[in-house]
Amino acid sequence: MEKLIEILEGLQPEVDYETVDNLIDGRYLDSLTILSLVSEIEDEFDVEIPTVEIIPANFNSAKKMWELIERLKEE
Amino acid sequence: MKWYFKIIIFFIILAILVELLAIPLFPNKKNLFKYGFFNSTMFELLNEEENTIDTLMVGDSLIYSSISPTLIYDKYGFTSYDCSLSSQTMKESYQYLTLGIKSQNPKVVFLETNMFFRDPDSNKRKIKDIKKVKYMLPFYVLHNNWKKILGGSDAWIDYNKGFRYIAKFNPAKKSDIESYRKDRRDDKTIIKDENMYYLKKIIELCDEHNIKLILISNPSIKAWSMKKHEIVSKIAKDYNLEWLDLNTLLDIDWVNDTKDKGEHLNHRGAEISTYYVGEYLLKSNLVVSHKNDPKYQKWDRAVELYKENNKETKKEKILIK
Amino acid sequence: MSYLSIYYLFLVIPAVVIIYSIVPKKFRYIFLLLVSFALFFYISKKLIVILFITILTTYISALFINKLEEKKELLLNNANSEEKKEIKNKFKFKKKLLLIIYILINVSFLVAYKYLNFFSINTNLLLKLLHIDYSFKIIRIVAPIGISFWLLTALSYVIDVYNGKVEAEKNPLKVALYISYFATLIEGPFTRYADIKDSMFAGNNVTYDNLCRGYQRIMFGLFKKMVIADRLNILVKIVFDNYIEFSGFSSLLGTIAYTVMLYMEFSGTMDVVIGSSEILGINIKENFRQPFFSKNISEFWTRWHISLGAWFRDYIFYPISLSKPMKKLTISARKKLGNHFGPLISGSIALFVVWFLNGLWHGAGYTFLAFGLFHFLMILLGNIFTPLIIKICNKLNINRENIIYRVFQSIKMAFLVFIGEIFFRADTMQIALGMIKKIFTDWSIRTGEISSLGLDIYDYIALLIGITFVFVISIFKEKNIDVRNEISKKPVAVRWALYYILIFSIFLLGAFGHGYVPVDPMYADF
Repeated sequence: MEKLIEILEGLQPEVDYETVDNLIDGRYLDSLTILSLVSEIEDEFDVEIPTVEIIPANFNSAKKMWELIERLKEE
Repeated sequence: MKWYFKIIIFFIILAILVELLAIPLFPNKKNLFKYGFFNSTMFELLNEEENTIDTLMVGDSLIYSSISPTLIYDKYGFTSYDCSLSSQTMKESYQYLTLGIKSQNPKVVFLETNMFFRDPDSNKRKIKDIKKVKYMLPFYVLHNNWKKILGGSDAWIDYNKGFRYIAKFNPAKKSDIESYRKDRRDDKTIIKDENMYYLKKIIELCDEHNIKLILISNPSIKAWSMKKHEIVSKIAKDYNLEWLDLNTLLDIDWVNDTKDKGEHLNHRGAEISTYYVGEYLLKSNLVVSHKNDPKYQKWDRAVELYKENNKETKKEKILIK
Repeated sequence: MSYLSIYYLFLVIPAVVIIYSIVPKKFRYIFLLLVSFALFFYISKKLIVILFITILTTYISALFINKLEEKKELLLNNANSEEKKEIKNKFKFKKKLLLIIYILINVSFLVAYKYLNFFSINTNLLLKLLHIDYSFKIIRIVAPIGISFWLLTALSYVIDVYNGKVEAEKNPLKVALYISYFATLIEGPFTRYADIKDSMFAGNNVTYDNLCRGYQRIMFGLFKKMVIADRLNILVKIVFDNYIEFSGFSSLLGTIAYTVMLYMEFSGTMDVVIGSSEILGINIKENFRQPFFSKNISEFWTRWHISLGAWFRDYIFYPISLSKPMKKLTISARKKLGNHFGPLISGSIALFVVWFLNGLWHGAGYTFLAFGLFHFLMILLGNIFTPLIIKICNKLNINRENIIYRVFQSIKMAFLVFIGEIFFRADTMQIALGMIKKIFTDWSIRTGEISSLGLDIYDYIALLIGITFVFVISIFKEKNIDVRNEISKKPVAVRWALYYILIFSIFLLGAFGHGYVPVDPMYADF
């Protein structure tokens, strides 16, 4: 989780990732940032995020992203 | 059930407001109450003060592009008004004249003969407008008059008096001019019964009100032909009417004086036509000059506004020799 | 036909609403379907066949994909791990094949009706250049109404089924209504099956509350169109038809006017679409979110015609940029170029495709392609220079949340949008480039130039009033204040007075009647 927040802060430092829960709907992260994010997550946590999973519900908060990563790790 | 009533009440209030709020938008409120809202396309005549106009020019686009009442007043002091719509039919002319006689006390009426030859069913406005409710609503026609309310007293003066000032020119074809000068004959020309019916009604109406009815054929290469000249000549004789065929009486420069290749005059051609009619009125002693009459001050202001607003731009001033 | 016509708003909608409330709940969606077909047939006549083919193929493909999925699960349950992989691959291939065939069939309609002419004109030019004496016939064909909208709406459903985001619908009538729903048929927005299915088929009752709310929204849309868009239309037409005669100032003014007009017309239409659906209890997502409050041009396009942007993002951008070869590219690029620029390569390839298609979607023509590519370039440049700008700002101690900086950003954003819209409106590339050149070089305003643009001082006053009103409402929306909710809390007298004021301001300030030409529904042609 800390690693994830580190990644997020590297990409877009002006957000408080502990509290914000509308990262996509509130347009804190645009689609190009998502691309970087996906590739960094895949690299760091050794998972593969399929296109289908790239929906606001999975990326709206750091917590949701972490849940996604955990889920993908199990598969 | 209650909310159905609410909606109905809402629309009743709306309808009342629509009617009430149209009143301030009407130019001449006194005439509105007296004569009502006549016809959306003809209401502008009601803008004029009661019994101030001595001559009505009734006809189609050949009237509003050929005769400028404001210029007649400027030179001769006679008051007149162009009761003309594009593609006006004889029936509409009769309606227009009825309205004119209600609110005015004209001595002379000019009737454009080009309408005799129009197919009364071909009028697009007739078919389209009657189907469309919006043309019957005062609001639809008047809504833009809020600009005039903001614009002060001058804005309410209709300085064109039904005339449409057109500065652009578009020369007629040489071949058209030649065939016009050679007394072209157009064999398709016929007059529909409906037109004769309304002509008779107009003649009756004028007789009843002691109005001198004069037929007029304004210059037009496209509309005029020798055949038509002969037909109108016969009608004038049959009904004992005076008739001015400006096509034969005037010399128009069909290169510089037309806006659309000889169908209509532009403002230059209109001046020739206008002054001819003014001169005719002067000689006939049918009407009197209202110059220097304080009751007609607004007409003097109209002349000023006419000259201020109707100007040629540089591009339109070029003359072709 | 326009959704903003008096007949549609005050005859069609009330009639639909009344019959809809009489019809039993269970059959309401069927009634809506009939209305939709009737509207389509009224405009496009026998081309309705195309719509039927799309509905049929959509329904069958989605169902078939679901069947394959079920079969796969069944087989997987009885298989060992080695077989599992094989089964998975086999079904993946089948599903993909089915999807591709489906997409090809339907996209071919779009190509045939919208782009064939453009392609054959250009091929003919090429053949001429190569001195080949052959030319394709150019036939002017009329496309089925709204094809660019309902076709993509249908595609999104099948792709969502393919991705397992929604279950395939078993009732063909429901699929038919989803694709051809009359309110969104002609000008969108693109809906998603998952978002709309609950409210669309529920047959919700028409309530007095919804009726008021819906018509408030519709009247607001009508205000935007009649007071602002129709009036600006005069100026826009004069400037774009005769730009050579005017200075760069008028060109810029014409462009701004066009952008505002486009916004008022299109978002006004969306007000009608969303408002009329609200009356029927159908929830449609917003298609505009105060775009002129954006920070940059890329944000602008997430607030303007949102559903189109979202469609391209979900079905073009991510599938391309996150495809296997692109991911590999991203990983190797990141090692060399770092975290910011690495993903930008695959991102910009996908972005290029998105904006190329976006331009093409708006119309077959070089001006629309230029419109798309212009935006691609601007967004790309924005992304390349962002880190640099942040660095410079930090060095110069400029606070990027500062109000002056924000205003500067907004002006820059708006200016880029205006330039982009020149391509959008101009009839030819020559006119577009000529106007842009004027804006940057020719500022010799002639006396009386502004008064020769077709509007008088009172028209400008009306515009000022109209735009201020829309602006104030936009600020409330931006601050998440629901104006219609606030109104409903007021006593009846105040509420009705507000309604009458709105209605009469449309009557009075509306640009209709003699001397005005109403705007054509611009997006209906796309």
